[in-house]
Amino acid sequence: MLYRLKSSRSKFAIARLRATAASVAATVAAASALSMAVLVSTPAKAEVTYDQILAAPDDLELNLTYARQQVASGRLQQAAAALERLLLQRPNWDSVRLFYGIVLYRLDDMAGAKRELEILEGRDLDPAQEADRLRYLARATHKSKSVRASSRITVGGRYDSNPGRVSDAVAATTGADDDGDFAFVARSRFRLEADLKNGRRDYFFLQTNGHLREFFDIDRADLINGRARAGVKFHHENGSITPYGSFSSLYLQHEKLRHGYGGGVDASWTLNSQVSLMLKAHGIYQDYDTTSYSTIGDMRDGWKYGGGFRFRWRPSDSVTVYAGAEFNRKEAKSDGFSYDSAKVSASMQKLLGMGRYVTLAGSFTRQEYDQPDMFYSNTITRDDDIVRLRAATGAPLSTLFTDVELPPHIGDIVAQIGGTYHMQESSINRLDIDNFSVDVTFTKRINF
Amino acid sequence: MITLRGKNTVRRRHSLLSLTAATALLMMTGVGQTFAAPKIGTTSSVQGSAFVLTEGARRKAQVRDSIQLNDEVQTKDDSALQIMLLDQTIFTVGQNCSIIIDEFVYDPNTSVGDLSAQVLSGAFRYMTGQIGRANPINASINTPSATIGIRGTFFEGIVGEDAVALAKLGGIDTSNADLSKASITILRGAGPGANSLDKHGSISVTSAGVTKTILEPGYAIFSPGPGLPPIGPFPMTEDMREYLDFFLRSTPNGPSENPVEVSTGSQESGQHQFENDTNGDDPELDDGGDEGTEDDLPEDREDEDEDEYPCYECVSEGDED
Repeated sequence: MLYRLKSSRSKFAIARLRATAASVAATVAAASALSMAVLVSTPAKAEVTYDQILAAPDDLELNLTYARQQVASGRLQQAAAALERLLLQRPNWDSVRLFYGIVLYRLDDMAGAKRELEILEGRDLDPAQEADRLRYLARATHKSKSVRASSRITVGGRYDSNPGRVSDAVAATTGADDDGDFAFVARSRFRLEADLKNGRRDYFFLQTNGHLREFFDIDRADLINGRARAGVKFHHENGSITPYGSFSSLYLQHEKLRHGYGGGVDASWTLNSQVSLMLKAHGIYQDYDTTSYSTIGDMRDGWKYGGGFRFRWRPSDSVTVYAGAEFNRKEAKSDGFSYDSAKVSASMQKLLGMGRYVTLAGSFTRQEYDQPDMFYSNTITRDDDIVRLRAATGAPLSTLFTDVELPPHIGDIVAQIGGTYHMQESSINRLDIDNFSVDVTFTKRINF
Repeated sequence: MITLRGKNTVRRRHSLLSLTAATALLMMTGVGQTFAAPKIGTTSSVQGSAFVLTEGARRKAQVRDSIQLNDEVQTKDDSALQIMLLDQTIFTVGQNCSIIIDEFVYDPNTSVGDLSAQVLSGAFRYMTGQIGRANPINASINTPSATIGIRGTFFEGIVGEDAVALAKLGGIDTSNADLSKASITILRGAGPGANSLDKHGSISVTSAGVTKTILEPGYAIFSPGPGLPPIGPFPMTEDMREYLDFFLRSTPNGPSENPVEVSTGSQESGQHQFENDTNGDDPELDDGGDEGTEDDLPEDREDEDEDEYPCYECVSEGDED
């Protein structure tokens, strides 16, 4: 049962919970404060009202100011209408047509965007505007395809203070290496989408994710993980529902540790233009192998199923805040490996312009096992509290190196630096683990 | 002139009552006067020959003209016009169009109201205003062959023989179509992939008791005529797009001009903030789909399973015992 506290260590557990809750609360508070600061920092300008436009609909400057204000407030339909008005009056105002075309792109009117951007070919645009035109024409063309593929490749390095996740207790008693180490990391993602062409934006998708982590010195935490997921995304008027099947595989220290196969359903519901609710439910059968470093093998086998919810709040079009909870149940062959878990999480992402961004995230997970794990203790049932805090920021190379004229396919590589703190406190003190990591990555995206 | 704009509220039913009362008053006082229906909008842009018919009297449309309830707006060849309604609804009408706004109830304090318009012929574009945003089911457009229900969106339509021509270009069988009353409706946005705070749109087209819905921009529904069910949705083809653009979109016709300084489109539109074309990555769920905020989520994510990776220590501890 979740959150039941054993009387023999209830004080310790409560103190731990308080500390971890305080950490999560601090993260959430920091995220909220940053988002509020961002909101408050918007400079105040004299607002052009719709009534003013009604009184002077042919005033070019007033309409342009109004369009810009509507963009700033995230209301692009009104901006599009104002720009359309300007173009009816001044059809040769090419820079406004470019503005209009990219507003239509943001509104997901790819046909409209393509038309406006194509019609500007050969017109008198300055180099920056022409580069803009070509970039968004290519994107609108890609998004217009009924079968489209996209990929992402990330490479980089990371430093972990405790890559093997060795507890102080284990290090003290066994002399296990708990030194820090550097690792090479790589991630990949490939996604194929094929429209069902039913006018509802429903589509089939196939997505694969890969993850490689190879430490230089420590020989305890090298992993390769892969996952494939296929399903159909169905849209309804206020959201979507996505049933899928999935398969995953995990290799630790170059030996297969686990396969997972199953499926689930994700759903989203738009409560209003700024708040969405997302739900998910899944069931995955986890199939473990015996390895040279673990004889536990199929005692861990079993279904892991659960669900969760998450709210997404967009106070402005450049700030996104997530908050939610997730619950899982693992039914392993051996009760010592069966558990319940509950996780609460919050994150905030702020876009800073020119592709720069910052993210903050925090989560707290409580995981309670059904029975003692005989390898650790015959009497103490394992309960873990896990806290994860992360901050990261990134930008395209073209933004970072403005003095150097990078080719577009190099300039759009996104560099990111991030830091993660991971702490696990357990009723089994040899499983008390903490790790701090810093990572630097470079990500390239390619659309087909 | 009698209008019910004292509280910026125009109510058709109230206006009729008020007109009746005012007429009675004037008859009693013996004072003759011309009445006008309440103003519900303004013509904001006029190209070529466009006219407004008010109670049978026709005048040439000009920018800043008042549009009143039940006015019929007409355009001729090579003409276009934009109408801004008080609730921020925008109609753009192309050549040879005839449109009447026959119901407009709007309270700006609550944004609640009702909007209904009839498009008798020609091409038009509709952009939703406050009424459609506050309660989408309260906004509708009627054509001779169908009723279009609007849910916070912008869309385009054509009524008449051009609708039949457009449907043919889309590969639709138009053999039973009514050349003067057929209509075609095309959703333009904001779609599920929109990167803005605008509500994602949809339209429902109903005729002969059958309703068809479009959620995806670039799809169309054809209504062949009164009493005939709508056909579709089907994707708009390139030929259809060009045909429609001819009626509803401006085209450069001379050297470039720049009367007011405008920067690059990506900066003006705010898109420069979303330079990472991340295709909707979600840092936790990572279903990779379009959760409604395409392009706006940056790189940072780790596989959701990462926290679950059994560290070597966790796996091997027992073996070492």
